[in-house]
Amino acid sequence: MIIDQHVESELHQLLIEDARISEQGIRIVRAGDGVSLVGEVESAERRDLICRVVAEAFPDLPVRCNIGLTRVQEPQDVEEL
Amino acid sequence: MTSEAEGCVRVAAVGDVHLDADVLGRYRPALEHVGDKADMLLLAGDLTRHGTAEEARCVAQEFGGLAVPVIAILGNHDYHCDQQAEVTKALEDGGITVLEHSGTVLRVGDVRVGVAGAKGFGGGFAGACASEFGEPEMKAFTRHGREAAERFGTALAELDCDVRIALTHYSPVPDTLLGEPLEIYPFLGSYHLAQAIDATPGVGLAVHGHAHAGSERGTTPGGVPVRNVAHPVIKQAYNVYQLSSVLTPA
Repeated sequence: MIIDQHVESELHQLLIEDARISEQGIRIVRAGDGVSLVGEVESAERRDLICRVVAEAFPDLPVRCNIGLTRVQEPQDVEEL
Repeated sequence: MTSEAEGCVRVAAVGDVHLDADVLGRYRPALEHVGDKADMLLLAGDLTRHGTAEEARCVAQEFGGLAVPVIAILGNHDYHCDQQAEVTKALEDGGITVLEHSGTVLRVGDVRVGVAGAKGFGGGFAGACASEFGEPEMKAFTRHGREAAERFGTALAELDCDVRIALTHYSPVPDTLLGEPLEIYPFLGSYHLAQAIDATPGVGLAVHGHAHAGSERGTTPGGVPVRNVAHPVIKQAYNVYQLSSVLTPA
């Protein structure tokens, strides 16, 4: 599958407009003959679903999932303004 | 030592938490001690994924009943299903104060801290901003951003307090968008918001979210510190900012 601007744009819209995903913060990076999805989400279920939905929509496109979970630890410092 | 003893104000803030049932309980352990670290918690919009009342109830469950007052605004995600009134009610039912072109004043020790909040809107920044010209759709887009900023500015100016905090979802400055594609800056914020902030004296902090790939720190042209607290930017449950210099007599 040739990855051009049309494919990249379709992928981008899918990530935002598919109600199962609705993510505006995932970047699409061309990687070899496929794409890498890069970003952070709030749950492992969302990460897995994004990669599944993209693979379903683009079955001939190799997709690497480089999506992490945003950390939620307590802050240890304070910024003085 | 409490902030009252120190004579300063500590503000915890996070945005873009995008709650739904799958995230319930994730933030709560870090929130249990927020009262030891801050005097209030600000939520900078995009609290839900699709803007449903059900998702908002998850937000209320996760961020309600804390040891500090919680003040929120909605973001663009919270409008997606056209249920913003139901979303607002669900948050308020959970004890969260929701602002939109409005403000609230909290007392921290002897200091009256005013928070004005609004979602804001896009439009862009100097040299690359939308104008009220041409098609009605373009005029409407531009006008909406300008009018939202003006209403926000009025809410900020009307606060009767010692120090003001500006809470928006969209960014008032391009500094905190660094990392985002330049092409989408007009969809991430508007210079009109910075104009509104700079028009009122005594603003000690401007907090926003929305720009997941942006950066944390910036300043308005008038010198007000701006902080992007989108969760993927701060990479922890919340950040804490201490307002000291603005409260120190010159």
